[in-house]
Amino acid sequence: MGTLKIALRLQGPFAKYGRGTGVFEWEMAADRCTVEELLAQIGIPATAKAFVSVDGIKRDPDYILQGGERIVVFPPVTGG
Amino acid sequence: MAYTGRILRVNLSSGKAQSEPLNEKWAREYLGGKGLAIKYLYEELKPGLDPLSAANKLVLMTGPLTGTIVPATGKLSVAAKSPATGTILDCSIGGHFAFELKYAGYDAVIIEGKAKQPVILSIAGGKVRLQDAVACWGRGAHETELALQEAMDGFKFLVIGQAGEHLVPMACISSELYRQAGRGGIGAVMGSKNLKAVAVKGGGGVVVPDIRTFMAAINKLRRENTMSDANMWVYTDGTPMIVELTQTTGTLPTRNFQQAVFEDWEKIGSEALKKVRAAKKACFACPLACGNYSRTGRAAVEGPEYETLALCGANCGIGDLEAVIEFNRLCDDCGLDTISAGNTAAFAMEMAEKGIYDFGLRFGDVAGYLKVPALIARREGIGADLALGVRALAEKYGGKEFAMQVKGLEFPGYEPRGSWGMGLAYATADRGACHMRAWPIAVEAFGEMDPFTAEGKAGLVKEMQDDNAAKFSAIFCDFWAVDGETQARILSAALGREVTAAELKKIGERIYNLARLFNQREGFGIKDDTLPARIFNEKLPGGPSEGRLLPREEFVKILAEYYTLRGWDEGGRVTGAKIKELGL
Repeated sequence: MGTLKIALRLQGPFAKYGRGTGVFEWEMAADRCTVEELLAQIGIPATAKAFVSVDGIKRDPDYILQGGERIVVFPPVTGG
Repeated sequence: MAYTGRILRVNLSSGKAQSEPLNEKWAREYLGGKGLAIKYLYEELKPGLDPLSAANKLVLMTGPLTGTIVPATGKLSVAAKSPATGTILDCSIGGHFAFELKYAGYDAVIIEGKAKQPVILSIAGGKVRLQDAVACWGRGAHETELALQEAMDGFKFLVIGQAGEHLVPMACISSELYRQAGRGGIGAVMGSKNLKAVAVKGGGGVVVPDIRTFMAAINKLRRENTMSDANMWVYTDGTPMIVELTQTTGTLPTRNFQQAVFEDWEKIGSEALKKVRAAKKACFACPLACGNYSRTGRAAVEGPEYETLALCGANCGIGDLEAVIEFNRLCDDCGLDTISAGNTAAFAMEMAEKGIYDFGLRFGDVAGYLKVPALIARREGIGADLALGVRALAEKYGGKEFAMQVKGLEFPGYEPRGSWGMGLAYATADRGACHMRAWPIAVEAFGEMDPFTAEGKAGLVKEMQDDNAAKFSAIFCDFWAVDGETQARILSAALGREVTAAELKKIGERIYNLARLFNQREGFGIKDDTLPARIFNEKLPGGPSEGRLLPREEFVKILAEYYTLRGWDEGGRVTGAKIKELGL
């Protein structure tokens, strides 16, 4: 099994699940994983309804990550 | 309970003020805030009146929770007939004015008539005064409010800038320098009455049935609900975070909605703003503290909020954050709505680009752009035309197909071709293009619902409109994701009677239908529930929404379904059966 490396930024209150604000590198012992599995690894509850962008594009929970991506995780927003 | 039970009615023509009982039946049926303000206006305004005449009325309405410690209830509803659209208009403004008004003993103030010369209406200690405001007339909102703060210790203020004085249909009302009742020219209504400012100082309080239980329940709610992950983005980032969301989903209006992604979005996004954040600010009793002060070498403001970043930034092709901050400050000082001002500047820029008319404004040109607010506010130079707003500019010079407005109100910062529900929300909002009546983009482009389908959108928009109508009448801030059941429990505790979520739903529907009836009485109907041709005919050129438009036939289908779900007839008219069902 290889190591999956991604650049991660956790927005808003999700920053507490990572290393604060800003981009950091996240490593997982896996060849690949889905967005949903990544969120579970980070500790973001599935009920949190996170919005995930991968390389600047919105992706669904079943999107497969290969490593090397830039990922941003947003909390759900209200209002506007 | 929770209401003061008194309304202050001030006639500026006669100079007389009187206190009258709150209509308790209406308070039960419409709660307060948006709903109750619209009810008073519906009953008291003669159809067809000129919104800038003395016959229009300005209503300042609190809600049943105003002045309690319930989180995110600090807003005030300000309502009148709109000079921009001719529709009903209600705006909400944050800060500390609302609770002060309640503590002064009133649930609402209804301002009628027109003063002979500029005045300040002051309310304190049971006394109502009209003070000479001649010395303030002509001054910006900031200078005026700072001078009033100096002269009137402990008061809270609503003020207008030069835009309101000059009856500009995108003039707003300001409070605490950077909070605005922004849309539809509400500041021009105040200006038309020669009313430069309203000052209020409380001294009383609010009564709830069982203070001990109430405080314990609200404190628990604050910890476990308000300050949870579902809401804390408001504190950590605030609305600037939405820049990256709209960029990522191809819904960020760029260069007058010609594109939906902006190459310089990172320069005006949340991370850039965090680098110049100077302080935080909250409304009364709100732990979410959405306000962010930004300071750069040459500019400072509370904000900019997302709408300003989108419409005065990307939509004008401006990726210079300092310039957007300064544009925001200028609009706030002059008393201009940044959404309409940004749209108008962008429309003028595209007019020049297309050779229709040249106001000397170009996408990305900061120097010309920064002159716009003051010129519009004083109707000087190009500002004489730009002050008309996008619809009237298009009627005068052309460019109607890319005049981004509905019923005369300029578009908020969400591209409907990338989120079809937003198209319906804009077309059917009670005050023209508005994102606060329904914000379906949250579950479409930002959520799990397909943004490019008609399916489910009519029901989604209707439910959101009704829910928000009740929420903004209670008054809960839209930034608190509080569900109907929780709202009902809070209201029950504050009012001392059982309020259910189902009742709130019905109240919301009643309010939305009453607003529709107001507009129907003014001649609005299906012909006005539409969008600019650009949305139907021009495919977006790039980004995640590349190649997308909102096909007219799909829009017509969604609109027809929406009317059916509302129980309106095929022309969008509220039916007799619906009027009876809702007790209208």
